Amino acid sequence: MSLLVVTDLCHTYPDGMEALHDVSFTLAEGERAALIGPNGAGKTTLQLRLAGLLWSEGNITVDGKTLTKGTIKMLRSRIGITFQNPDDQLFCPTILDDITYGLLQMGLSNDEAQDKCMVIMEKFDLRGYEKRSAFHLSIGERRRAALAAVLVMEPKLLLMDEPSAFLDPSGRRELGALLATLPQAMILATHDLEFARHLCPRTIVLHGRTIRADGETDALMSDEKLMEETGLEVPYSLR
Amino acid sequence: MLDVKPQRTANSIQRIHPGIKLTLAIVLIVSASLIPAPEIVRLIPACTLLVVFIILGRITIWSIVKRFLTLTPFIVLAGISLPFATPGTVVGTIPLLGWQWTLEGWHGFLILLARSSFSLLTLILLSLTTDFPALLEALRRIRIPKVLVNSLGLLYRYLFQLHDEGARMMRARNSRHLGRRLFHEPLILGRMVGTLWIRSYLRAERVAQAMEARGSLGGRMLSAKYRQVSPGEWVLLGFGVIFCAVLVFLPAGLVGL
Repeated sequence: MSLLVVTDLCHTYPDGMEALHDVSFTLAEGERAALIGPNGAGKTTLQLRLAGLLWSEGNITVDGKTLTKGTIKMLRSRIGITFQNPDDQLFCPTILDDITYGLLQMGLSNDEAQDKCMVIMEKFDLRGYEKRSAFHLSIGERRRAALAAVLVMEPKLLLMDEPSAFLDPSGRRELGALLATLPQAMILATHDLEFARHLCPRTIVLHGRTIRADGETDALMSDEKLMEETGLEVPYSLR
Repeated sequence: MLDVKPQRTANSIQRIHPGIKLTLAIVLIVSASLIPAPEIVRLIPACTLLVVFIILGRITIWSIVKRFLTLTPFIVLAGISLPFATPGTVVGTIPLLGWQWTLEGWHGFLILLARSSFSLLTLILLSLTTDFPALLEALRRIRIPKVLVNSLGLLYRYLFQLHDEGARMMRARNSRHLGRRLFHEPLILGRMVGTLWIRSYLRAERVAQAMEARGSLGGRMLSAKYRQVSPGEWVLLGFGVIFCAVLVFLPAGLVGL
């Protein structure tokens, strides 16, 4: 059964700029898909729309429930989203407050929230950072904290916008290894094709506000004509 | 001024429960404003109490002075019109403008300065001896509206971002700068401030989205657990309250005035 079903999704910004046009696809439970495309292709808009942070025409079903303004509160904990810049994500005075934020919103008690928080901090190598503020952390640590803050809510679908941005090679490698262990279905919007190739067996190419191609990652990324037409390049590892 | 971290070595003052310190600070500030104007010298014993806190808290004088000097102009600005606006005995006139200042006006100004400086010093000591997140939690516990506490939390979190963003813009400007001082370029300065405002606005939108994505209901942003107040700390608070009550309400003759 598909975890995510997107049908005829369109989005036009208030200034009249059309960002998405007739986008349709499905995603199975636990499936990882890369969302690639040139700047302005609509990757971020699509993610915000899937997370219920934008509203427009089209139909989205998550875990069998249609995403509407009436169901979004119930679906919040099933859809996690991380932004390109972790500073947009970490808004509380301390890392502990940030990671427990979503859990408290879900109605967990302080003790339950903190117990869950400690487990995820251990997993993300963030123990000892509880009382620290995000501005004292390196970008890699902030990225991990932002991811922990989302995953602690145990979403079924994880949407990530440029997860490898700002990371050094070892941070990028560590993040890739971490993401590979997660059971969640994921949509990774990225320009880092090597990273996408390493993590996602499936790729969706967004171009001209709609889906231009959708299929097996290596097959799509090695298609020189497609990559050139969509403003992308065949990754080095496939040349 | 952005260095709002308390000094790191924990000492007896820093270890006091943040709620007790906050309540004491509020009691001291309220007392300072309740002392009748003619008996303003009653603030001197209260200042002695602050000096004891400075010594026990091992706070460097420079860390207090630099904060105090940064904020004092706002107090002066708030009260500078008093000498001219208060009716009374004229003691001088500003040449050309003809504005007259009065003795009563100057008294009023000095009393305002004394009260505000005392309150400012109290808050500086509080900020230097208490972690900001702990202070926020203390504010929440004394039932300060959550919107205000959350706003302070966000301000604390993003003040540094704003500072860094401003510094990055200055660096970008300096990299293409050909010798003219920034204040000689008011148009550029205005544009930079405008850009900084727009960037802050956009960031605020993204932060709001991040909050919404995690199910924000406008509720609390703080989860940290704080220990219970110890009996000794209750005694300290009681002592502080009695001390302030004596300062404010005891007849002048009994306190040697």
